[in-house]
Amino acid sequence: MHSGAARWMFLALALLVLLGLGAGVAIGPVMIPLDQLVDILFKGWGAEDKPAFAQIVHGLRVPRALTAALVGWALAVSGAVMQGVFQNPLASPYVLGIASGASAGAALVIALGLQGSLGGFALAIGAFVGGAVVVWVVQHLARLRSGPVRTDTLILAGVALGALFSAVTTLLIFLSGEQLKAIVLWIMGGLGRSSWSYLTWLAPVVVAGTALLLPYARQMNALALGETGVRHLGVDSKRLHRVLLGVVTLMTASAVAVAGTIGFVGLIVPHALRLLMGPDHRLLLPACALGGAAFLMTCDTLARTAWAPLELPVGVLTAMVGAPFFLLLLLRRQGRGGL
Amino acid sequence: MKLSVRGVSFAYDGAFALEQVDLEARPGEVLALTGPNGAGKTTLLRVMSGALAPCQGTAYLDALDVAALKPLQIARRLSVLEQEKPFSFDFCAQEVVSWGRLAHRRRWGRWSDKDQRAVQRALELTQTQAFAGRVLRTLSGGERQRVFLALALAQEPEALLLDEPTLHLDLNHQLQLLDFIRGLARDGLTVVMALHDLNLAARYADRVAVLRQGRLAAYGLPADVLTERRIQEVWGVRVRVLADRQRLWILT
Repeated sequence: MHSGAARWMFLALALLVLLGLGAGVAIGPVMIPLDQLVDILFKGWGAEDKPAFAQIVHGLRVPRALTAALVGWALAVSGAVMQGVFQNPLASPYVLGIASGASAGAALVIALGLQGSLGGFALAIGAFVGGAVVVWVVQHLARLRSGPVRTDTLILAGVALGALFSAVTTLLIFLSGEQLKAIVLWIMGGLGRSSWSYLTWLAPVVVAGTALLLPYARQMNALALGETGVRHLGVDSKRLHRVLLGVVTLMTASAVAVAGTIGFVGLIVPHALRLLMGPDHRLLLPACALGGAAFLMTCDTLARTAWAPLELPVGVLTAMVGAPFFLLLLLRRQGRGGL
Repeated sequence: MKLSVRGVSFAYDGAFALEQVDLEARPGEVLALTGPNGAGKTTLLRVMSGALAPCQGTAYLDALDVAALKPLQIARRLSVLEQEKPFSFDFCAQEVVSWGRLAHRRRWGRWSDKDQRAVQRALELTQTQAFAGRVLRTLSGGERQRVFLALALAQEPEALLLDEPTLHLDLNHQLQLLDFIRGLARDGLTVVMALHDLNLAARYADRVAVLRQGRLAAYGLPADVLTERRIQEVWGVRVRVLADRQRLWILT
């Protein structure tokens, strides 16, 4: 993509992020007058006449919008990396079973009552272990046979393992007794649990993970040449896969630990941006960070307000907004071929 | 850099694709690998490039065992142009050529002037600057092949392995490409290429190796190797070979 055009795209994406953040903070079941909102945002917890408003803004809306942004960012970047690594447009944290593994890991933590004082962090560890198990098994299954790894084998293995781990989660729910409600609520997903304490580890993981991925962007591009093709360029594709999938698993697991399973973000956002900006990961990864953040913040605001006071699961919205949009892009794209 | 294989055998699922092959290619020399379909040309190139590890024998870059080298160490000295290349992706030619610099960059290192110059030079040499900004998918087969050659040259290799570089090219582009590769060898590169076309092999190679069923059937100067009798033996085709002091013509 033309570098001038890329600049405009990034500007537009940054604007969308700001709009999403603004809407997330400004809109909610409780109407807060704009002048008071600005006061609260810029004067901190100060003793206004309406401390309840400050509580809502600082305690609920800001952390929630930021959490939505980071979860969307993590899922979109993870999806883009997986599609690049597996050279398959279907790859995403959900298709490859990583999210199912992470869910099962986190559900196990809840079922065993291991949350204790660590709270969300224990969930994240459980989710990471579950996700990592899936990645490890998928990779090793694919390498049992000699010769180059077929990415469709990886995807099928991911789908199978995803189904297995979903079953494990269901089994855990079935067996969990008193923890049942906690697990079910958590599985349903959503950003209702957002809090500053989650953000203190979610933000570093997502930001550092993305920073780790970016230097590999050109190598990811070169993966288009196939496994032997990149080998001839000096890229050890097995090692590259390990590094990239390790980072992506960590990011996905953190997102899942906070928000449960929110589908479609990791599939739609990278594809939409790839159609708009081309396949260069040096542009695509930062664009996915912004696009994923803007997309999920917007969806979450809609989910909170559309049926207020009821709150829709945000996953319902990501799918309902995302799928038609995605189909539209596909139609535009038809006949051009390529990833 | 000298490329050589000593006593190399390779088997796919128990069936030998190469058996006890000895060969070498010296700097400034073009070695053509030829032989019927399935004779082992591509397999031999893959063993030489380290993509396949031989089950017996050793492939060498100078005195180094290729199988013991890391991909990065190989890629800094050796470029490979494979026969089958994907072309359905949306990267522009310049980006594809820049991948040739991956072998020379430290992971956290920035894109240096040296990298920039190498890419520019590779584009100039292959005369691909004109469409450097275009997406590969939109280029013709000949243009695309030149882009991949530019990628190989951006690696600044000491040796070049090519698998059927003239495939899908028209006659004019075949000759242009091979003239160009010949020129690279003149500048000191070691070139090994698999070629089906015996006339092209005779015209452009310093030495020709004939493979048959994974074994080396002949190796030497084109005029000594590509005789009517040997072509009949190996390919089962009756041909006429005409020669003057400079050239060889194989007529079917």
